[in-house]
Amino acid sequence: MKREGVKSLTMMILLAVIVLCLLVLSVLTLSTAAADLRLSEKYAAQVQSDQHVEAQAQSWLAQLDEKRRDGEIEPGAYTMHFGEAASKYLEVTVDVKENAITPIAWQWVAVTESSGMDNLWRGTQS
Amino acid sequence: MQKKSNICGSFAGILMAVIAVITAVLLVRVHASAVTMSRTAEALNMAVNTCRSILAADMASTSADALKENLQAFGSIETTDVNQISFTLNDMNAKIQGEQIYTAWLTREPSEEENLEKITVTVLCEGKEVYSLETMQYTGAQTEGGEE
Repeated sequence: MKREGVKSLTMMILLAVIVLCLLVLSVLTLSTAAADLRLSEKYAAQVQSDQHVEAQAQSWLAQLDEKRRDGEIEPGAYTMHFGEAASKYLEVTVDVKENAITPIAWQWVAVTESSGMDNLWRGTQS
Repeated sequence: MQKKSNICGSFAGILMAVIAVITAVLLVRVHASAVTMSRTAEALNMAVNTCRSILAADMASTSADALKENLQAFGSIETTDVNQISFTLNDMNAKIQGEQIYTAWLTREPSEEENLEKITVTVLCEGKEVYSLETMQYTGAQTEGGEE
């Protein structure tokens, strides 16, 4: 009689442990999937923001060309920075000639702040 | 006494069965949510990359024929109008392996400013927008000697 009760209690404990394990695993799976989705959404927003900055630069090119045609600007190289992000900006350099306008540099520049580790070993200097 | 013990035993059995059923239902629902989230994240990632690639291919194309040739790498083109190109994204459909069909639109329209075009790339899943990327392209620049 007593053995029956012990058997039943063991089964209950075993079931509780299994249920608990499965629940923990499922919560982990769900949180990983949610984190993946959040990361994807962040990436999508970042790409959209970058493209917006690129569009601003293209618009600047068009305005510069219009000014060149109207004779409002002198021939030469012009550089402009675009973007409001603290971590990077788009640097565009164009060569303005009398008859045409040519982009000569179009690159994203990362803004790096000094981390106070200027005394790190930089390798052997020959 | 024996009767009481039997009742207790059957009650514990029923309780265990109920807990097992509830857990199973809960796990199935959580699994379904996780799968949906993972698929959405994967599709969004691929849609973003596809949009960027299509935009880059468009910017690199110097003629309508070159554009069509470049875009054929993404899927089968269904329209002939260069300003409104629609195509099925074969590569993306093969990678996601779902039953839904992913398509894309590339539209080009003149901007208010001269020498400027507005280009929009949209990736759709069964007609519903997944991701859209919009940009401007200056059309009067000389590309020779330029670097990007």
